[in-house]
Amino acid sequence: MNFFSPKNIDEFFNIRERYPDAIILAGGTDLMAQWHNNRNIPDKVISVSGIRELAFIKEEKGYVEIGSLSTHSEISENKTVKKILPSLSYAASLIGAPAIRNMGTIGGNIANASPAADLPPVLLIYDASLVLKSKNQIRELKLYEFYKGYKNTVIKPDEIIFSIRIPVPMQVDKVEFYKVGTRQAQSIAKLSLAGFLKKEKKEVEIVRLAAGSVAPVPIRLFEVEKYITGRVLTRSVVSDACDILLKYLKPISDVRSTEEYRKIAMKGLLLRFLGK
Amino acid sequence: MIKRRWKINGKNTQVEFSEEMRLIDVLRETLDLVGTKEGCGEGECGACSVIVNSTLKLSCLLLAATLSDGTEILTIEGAENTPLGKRIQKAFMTANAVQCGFCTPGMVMATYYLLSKVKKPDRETIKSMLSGNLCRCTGYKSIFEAVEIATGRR
Amino acid sequence: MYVGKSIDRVDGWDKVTGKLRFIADYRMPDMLYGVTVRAPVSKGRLKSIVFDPKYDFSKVVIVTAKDIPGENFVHIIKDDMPCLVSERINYLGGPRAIKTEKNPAVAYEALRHIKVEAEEETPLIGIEEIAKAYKREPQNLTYFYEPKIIKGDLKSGFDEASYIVEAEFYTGFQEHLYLEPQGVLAYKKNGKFHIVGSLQCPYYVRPAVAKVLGVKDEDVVVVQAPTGGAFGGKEDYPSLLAAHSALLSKKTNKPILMVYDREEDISFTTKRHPSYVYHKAGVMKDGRLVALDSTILFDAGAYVTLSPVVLSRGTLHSCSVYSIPNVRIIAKAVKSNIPPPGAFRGFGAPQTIFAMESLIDTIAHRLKLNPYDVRRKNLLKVGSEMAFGQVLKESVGIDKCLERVSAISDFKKKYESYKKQGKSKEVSTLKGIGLATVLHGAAFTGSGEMVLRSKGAIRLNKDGLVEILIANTEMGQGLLTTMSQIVADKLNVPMEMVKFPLPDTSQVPNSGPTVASRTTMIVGRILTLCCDELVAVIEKHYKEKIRIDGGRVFLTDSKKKLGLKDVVRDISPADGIYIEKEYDFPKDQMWDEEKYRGTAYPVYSWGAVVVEVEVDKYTYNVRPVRLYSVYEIGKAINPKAALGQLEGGMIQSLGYGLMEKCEMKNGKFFQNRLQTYIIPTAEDVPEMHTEILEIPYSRGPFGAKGIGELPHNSVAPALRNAVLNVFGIEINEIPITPERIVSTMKNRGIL
Repeated sequence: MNFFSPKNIDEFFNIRERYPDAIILAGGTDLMAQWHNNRNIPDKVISVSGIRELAFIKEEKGYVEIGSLSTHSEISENKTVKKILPSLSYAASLIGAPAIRNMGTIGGNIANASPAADLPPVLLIYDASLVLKSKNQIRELKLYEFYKGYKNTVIKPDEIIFSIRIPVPMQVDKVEFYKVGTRQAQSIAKLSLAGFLKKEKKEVEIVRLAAGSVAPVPIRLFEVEKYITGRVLTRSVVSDACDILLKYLKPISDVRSTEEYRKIAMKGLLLRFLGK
Repeated sequence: MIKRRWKINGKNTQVEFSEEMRLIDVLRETLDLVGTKEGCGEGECGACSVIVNSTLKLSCLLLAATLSDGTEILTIEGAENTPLGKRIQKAFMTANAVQCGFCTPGMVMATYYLLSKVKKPDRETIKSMLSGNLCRCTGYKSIFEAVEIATGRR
Repeated sequence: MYVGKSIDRVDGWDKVTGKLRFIADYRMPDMLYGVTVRAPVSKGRLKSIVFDPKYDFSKVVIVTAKDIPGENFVHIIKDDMPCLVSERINYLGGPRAIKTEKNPAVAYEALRHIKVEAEEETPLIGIEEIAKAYKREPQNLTYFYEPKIIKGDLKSGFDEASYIVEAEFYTGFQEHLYLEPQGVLAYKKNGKFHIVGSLQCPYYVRPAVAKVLGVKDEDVVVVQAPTGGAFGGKEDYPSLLAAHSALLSKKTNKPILMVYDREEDISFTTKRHPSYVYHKAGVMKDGRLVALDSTILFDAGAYVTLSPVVLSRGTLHSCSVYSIPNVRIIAKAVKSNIPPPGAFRGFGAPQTIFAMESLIDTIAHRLKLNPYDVRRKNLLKVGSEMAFGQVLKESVGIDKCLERVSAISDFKKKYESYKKQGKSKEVSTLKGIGLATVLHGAAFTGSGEMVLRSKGAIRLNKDGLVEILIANTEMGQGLLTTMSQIVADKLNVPMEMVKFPLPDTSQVPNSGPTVASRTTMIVGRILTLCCDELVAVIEKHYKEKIRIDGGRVFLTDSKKKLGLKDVVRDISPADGIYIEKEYDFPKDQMWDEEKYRGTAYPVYSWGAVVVEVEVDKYTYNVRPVRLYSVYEIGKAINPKAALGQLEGGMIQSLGYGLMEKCEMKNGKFFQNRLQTYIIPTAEDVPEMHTEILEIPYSRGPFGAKGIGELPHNSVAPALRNAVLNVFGIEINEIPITPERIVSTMKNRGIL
């Protein structure tokens, strides 16, 4: 194996240019397990842990910006995140177990593009954007534009996720994240739901819903959002919202759970979020 | 081949290893520090837990080459020589928190990390911070009690 | 002095400091690593093994069935399981060849360049398929064992009954998930083959390896390495792995270390037998059982291995703690095309006790009675005759366990109040409480101990230390400590003077395998007999009665004081005083294998557990929050160690009942990694309150009975019963995952 460990982002771009097929290694919590299980290691690996300019969490100009190398532990314990984005802190605290959280990064959690990843649903309801950098370019796109399909993203070979930018939310009535795992701790999500709700008097003014492990990618539930926006959350409205949800969700049966269960539990989570 | 200078259990150590080796391989094969165990190789059991730069990490998921010169590593072999480590080990004995012993090194390291962050954790915090260390023998209760003995809560 | 006290483990400090070496930590000069090539189909005929011509195989050494000098069988009960597949493939993963290299990564790489070609046939896979086939055409199945129990008059029992209650129960596979994967080291020294491994039974491995190598038993020396958990998974499987390592060592003339990685270990080693149990019960209005007609099917896999004894124990435990006057039980171990399941803590009893304890709550539910009362109406007691004819003579604590656990958990009241809890909109968690009463017969079934003729020994050596010489293995249960406590107390010497070396077949007699919860009760007894004999030998020599105290011998008449070293010097200076005794099987406790009647186990240990759960109304996630238990075990030699076994066993049973989904897809285990095979973490354990009761057993050392397996019979049915309490729905399959709750509700039109 050829191993590279750039000390800054420019060094990274130079190495990347020479070896566009090299694998980027951050915390290693997904990749190292994969390589072990496949008994196969890649030819070329670029470790980005040394690029310290990617490890930061700051609040400025109405945004919270989190560097891609921030670990789940750092995110869940950060005072700013806890205060402004409590569900993100909470979601990060549910990933794996303490040692995994010390090693895994937000960049890896997003770039690995697993539909079961814990952070993307929360980032989606917080309306997060990704900052992607290449040698000569910066671009920003919404997180929901990032996923193309199962484990497939729009990132270009010469790009790296630089940071995640989240607008500081205005007053909200409710922001929550529910993760259903195979046990109480250290488990991959069988399904997850993140919700962001603001009411104007009794009617729903703003709602964002996102789900994990029920589609090939983490998704915003735009159809459901559209339906309930402007409505009062009566029992029949909530029931109709669940029907819409089930109509266009297509969860699968896999090693962890069944299609039938995911549908029922997803409905349950939505009921829990929209209920009193 | 990669060359590094790490501080392992308080001692400055020169190591040389090939690119694909994990930290667990360097510890067990190159340095014969076999106290750190491999129970699964995919970061799910915690038996390989070590402390790297004061942070609990899984040595089976760490590509050794990613650890730069000057990295400080504490393994189970070094824990005995620290006051906190020894206190934890004695507490594990008193509480009968050891049965087959295979998860124990990782469990001790996770406890060491917990107690270096939180002086007197409550039961919920203990459970949460040890949730990454699987044990099949004890049912965990005696391990919780060991941690509480080590903090003087029991 | 020591017995009854929670002495610190003698091997504890080496474990907490990481000093103790397990087999994967062993190193020898010139050592090579071995890996296994496996059959790709479940059933078929082996055609060939194809070696990729582009790969340089000179780096590795291959062994196939053709290289076996002895017999290509792994001896367990019958000689029918091949060591290496030569022609017929009977399960997917049947080992075909083994190879070796210095660096395990190279060995695994070579594996990718070897292809096994086979002709496929249609396999029989799955307990549901087996149950269907049995109902349809039982004559077309192959049975490895078919015990039958008949008691009383079934027809008149059903005639008398007020209600008939019928139900079918299924239990799945379970993986032991010992934290330390299987591993064996083999090397040749001084003309003998040496095997060192993570194993439970050195004296099982020795003859198995000798047979494959075509040598005498004495030419194979087996030593146990410290073992990181076993639970039955290292009872028979290591014989196969040891044979593989030995074959490679023979061919290469080098030490060979074979250590499975986790995925390989889960995929190919033994599992708990899946089961199907059908019960038809005749019940009176007050819950009294008057008739029971049962069918038990165990999925025995491709070869006989241990299935007959697992089925036997399951069958003999299938009435749980109840006295039923009219019984018929028909049981079968069915051959199928999966890797043979094997021994796992409980050994058949967790499966059948799950069925019976669930049936009792089903009866209570349908008859609108309290499960506590139904149990009380049917409990065994001293004088009761069990279904297979055994009359209980002593040490029966089940009524006290049931009473006590109900009192400390407030079971009766909570059961009724949770039953009534409505589907109120306000509450998002539902509560439930479940009860189970269990038993476990320690020691080998029936005449097993008589056939085994276990021998144990002690030696008072030249240094005046007492060596414990038995073949039983420490795997976490604490026997290094408890056996030492027994001997120390029997001889009245300080524990520091008692030594217990790792079992080595060239150094210790065959005291039998470390299984069946037998070590304390049977081998502990043998050691007490050895101690008594040692005293007799000393008294005979000095022609006086003696008293041993503080490591010294007092001659009571002449008032002389001697050190133990002096005694050895006087009596047997060259080799120390070696005392060996055989287990004295009680001749009044006979078992008739032909009639399948008699004393099945010398004595039983008992238990009662109550689990309280909270169920999430939205996700159907079941969370156990409190677990109360009371166990009657004769005598706790080391209370903390006993609690450790009880608590550990209960959490394993919790996993079995709640989350350890272990499915087969196309003959392969689907959940075969730690990420997907889910066992309880620290956050999954409920608050535990465990109490021990003691009704001494007259033939147990200091009154002790067996306890290792007892707790694994308990929590799974209690959980199932708690879920019944929550939803009023009878779920008869474990694990009770949220998926199963949802699918059961959908199938019954509730959801």
